[in-house]
Amino acid sequence: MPSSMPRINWLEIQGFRAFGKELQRVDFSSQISVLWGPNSQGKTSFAEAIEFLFSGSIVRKELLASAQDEFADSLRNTHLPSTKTVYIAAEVLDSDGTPHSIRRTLASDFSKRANCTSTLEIDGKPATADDFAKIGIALSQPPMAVPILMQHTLGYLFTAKPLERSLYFKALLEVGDLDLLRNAIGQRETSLSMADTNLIKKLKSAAAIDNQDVKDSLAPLLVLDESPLHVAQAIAYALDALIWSAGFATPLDTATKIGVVEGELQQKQTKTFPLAQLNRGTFVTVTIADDELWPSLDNFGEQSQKVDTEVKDLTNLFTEVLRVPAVAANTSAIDCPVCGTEDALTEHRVQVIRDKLKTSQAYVEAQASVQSSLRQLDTKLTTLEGNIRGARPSFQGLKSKQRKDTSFSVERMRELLPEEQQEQLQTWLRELRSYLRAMRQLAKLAAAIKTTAKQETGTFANAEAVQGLRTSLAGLKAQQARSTQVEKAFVAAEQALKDTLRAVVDAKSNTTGWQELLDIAKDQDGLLSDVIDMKARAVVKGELTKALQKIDRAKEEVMNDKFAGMSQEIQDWWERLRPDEPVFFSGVKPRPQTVRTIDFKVSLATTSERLNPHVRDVIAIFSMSQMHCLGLAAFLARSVREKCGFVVLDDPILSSDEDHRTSFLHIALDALLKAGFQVILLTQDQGIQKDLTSLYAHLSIDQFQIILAEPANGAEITKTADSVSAMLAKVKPYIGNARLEARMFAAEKSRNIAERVCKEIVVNNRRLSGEPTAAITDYTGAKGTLESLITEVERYLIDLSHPGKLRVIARTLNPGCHDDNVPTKEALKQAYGELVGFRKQYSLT
Amino acid sequence: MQAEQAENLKLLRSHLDMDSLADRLVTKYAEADGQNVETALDSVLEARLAEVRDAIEHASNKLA
Repeated sequence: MPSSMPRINWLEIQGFRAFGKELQRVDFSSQISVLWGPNSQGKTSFAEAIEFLFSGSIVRKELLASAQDEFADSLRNTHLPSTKTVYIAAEVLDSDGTPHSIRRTLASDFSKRANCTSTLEIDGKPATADDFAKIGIALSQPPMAVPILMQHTLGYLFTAKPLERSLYFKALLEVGDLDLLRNAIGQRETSLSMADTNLIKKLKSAAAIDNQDVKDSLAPLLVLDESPLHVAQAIAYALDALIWSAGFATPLDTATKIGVVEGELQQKQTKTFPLAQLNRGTFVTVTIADDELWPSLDNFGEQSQKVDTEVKDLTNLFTEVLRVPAVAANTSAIDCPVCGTEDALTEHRVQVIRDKLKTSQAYVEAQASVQSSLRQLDTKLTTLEGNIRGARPSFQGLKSKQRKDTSFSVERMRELLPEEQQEQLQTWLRELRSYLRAMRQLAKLAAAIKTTAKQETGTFANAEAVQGLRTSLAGLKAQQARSTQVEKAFVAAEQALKDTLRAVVDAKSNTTGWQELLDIAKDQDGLLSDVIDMKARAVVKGELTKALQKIDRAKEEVMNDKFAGMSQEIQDWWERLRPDEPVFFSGVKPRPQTVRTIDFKVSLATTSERLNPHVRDVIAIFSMSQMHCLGLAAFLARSVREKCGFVVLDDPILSSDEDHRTSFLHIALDALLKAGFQVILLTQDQGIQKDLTSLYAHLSIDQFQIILAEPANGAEITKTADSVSAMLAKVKPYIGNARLEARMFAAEKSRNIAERVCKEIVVNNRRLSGEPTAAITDYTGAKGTLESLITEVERYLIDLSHPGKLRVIARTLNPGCHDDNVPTKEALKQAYGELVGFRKQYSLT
Repeated sequence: MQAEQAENLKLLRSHLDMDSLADRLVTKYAEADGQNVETALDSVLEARLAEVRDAIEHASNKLA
């Protein structure tokens, strides 16, 4: 065998799909192997085992599953004991003939939500699929990574939609990755897209102001190219245009221009409705840090207990008396500076005053601390009151007459609002009431606490007073949090109403866009930054579109190059499969100017000379047989190109396609073998098996059979041509068939099996008894009839019932060749069952 | 990256102008080799975005 490419030396399968707990091993000694088995006996599982070994998945799922869960738990054999692992192992000889062991173990099966997982070892070490390249095995791109042709991969091609068909052939031709590249780049367009910022939205509104000069001034800012921007100038011109239109002279500086336009806007709008009366500041909460207040008050309470009431009352007096210089320096009795009593303040008495003050010092300090904390609290509450006032809508400060003068009323708002937005007014009124109520309550609490805090400090020596303050302050904090929540709901209603009223007022006063112009005029740096970003994104987006077009064209060129080479190779295989036909495959190429369509061309001639053919699309012209052949040709061309070293073909020729079987077996397979490929062919057609056996006898073709006799045990593979198992498997489809011809065939074949059973039992026993040369061929002619064999085998039978059973079988099956008295299907079933029993009990292969 | 893919990308680049945006994107895609492809491609676009922004800003400053 040519050995410039890797080949599989042997394969072991355990527990994978149709294979059960018994390890199945296949030794490939020839360059070509044929594995025969009736339908549903495990042939495709065998092909998929090889696929799984190399790819870690099965293409059937990718091509056929319409939902992830369809293939849940499909790789592990249903009847496999939980203690058994599922694995496939092989020995691969690389191009130098060096053996490498490969083993893939299923870690987790497909589930409803996840793909299967597995572990791969090459030469006993953990490996990934990329490591196959190191031992010379070149896998292709998914989904058809492994050179295995199965019925469902060809069937998929015929039933797939055009896009899927195109993807299939792109995968065959190894250009699918360029589509992935193109899509990955195309999807990045989203990263360049960005919603308009608020300033851009305002610019667009301002640029729509009903004034041509304003439009002309702002339009350049919205041109999406790389041209430079002069934001300040554009806005200044726009403001000037409005000022001119109002009949004013234009001021020089922007701030003044803004002021003029604001005044004009307000004047115009107020004629319709005083929108400004709805304005208010956002309510800003005040953080009342009482961490120091409570310890301070508690300390004051404690110190207060330690000092008697008289001292408390006189502390200030004592302090002042001691500040009098004469008292402070006193060495002899002096008059009291308070009441004037003569010589009242003796040195001793002054010392007593000093001692009293000393004992009350802590009390004095505690008192000072409380006063400081209460002052801070008062300041905070004053700030809060200011914030509450600032958060009231302006119209709340208007008196009834003023509201009338400014035309601010609910009724006026109702008139202005469109019918479909009247609900906004109701919502606003409802939320306004809640909001004002919450704010009033908050203000009331703040005022009450301020009053409490301003009480005489001594009041807070009382624990109940402190507790009262604590409760009030907690209530205020809670109300402040509630007010914030209420404000949030109010803001939503307020904004909706203001926006609607703004639009109405703008339209009625012809000032739509003015406010937006003023807003952007006040934030020109921000606008410049946003406009630059908007323009840059548009420019790069345009460049990306052009880049994608260039990539598409380049991709088409690459595909054209590759298709040209591949097309010829497919054509060569086509000619080997269907030579000299007037309708023939003539090329494959991407359709010009399209991204996703590949055309397969067929030439139609009138004779086998193929003169002046008409070119058409394959899909419209080819029969199922021709399509099948095209798929096979494409697969073979790709396999040869990739030089993987082996191909697995699962029933590559349709049973209905007898005409082309010969070309395939004689010419195409021969070419594949001469190219050095190892061929493993699976078939359910006994005719193909026999033909291959004859054609490739010179290569000592390996023959295997695959039988799923008992589902609980799984499929079994044996290397044999005429084993009892193989013979039983061949007759099985006819057992149970009531038709005369089927029963006649089954009877004849079953009789042959009975003869074979007898011969093998006799020969095996003779060999065990010391006759190593004993052979099946010893029993031919008269010695080979069933009756004669039963006499011969009787002495070796291990059960007393067996001779009788064999004689019944002989009687039942005897008339099989004759048209009269053909055994019934029940009798055939009985005989078949007995023969299966003999095979097992005498361990026949 | 498999040899076939690398070859395809090389062929693709041979049909693109050197250092064009298309070329830079394809090169970055090949360098990423399937890891964080989106981030890799975005980095090319962000770099180009920065170039264009700078160009507009520079020209605008000259006008002001």
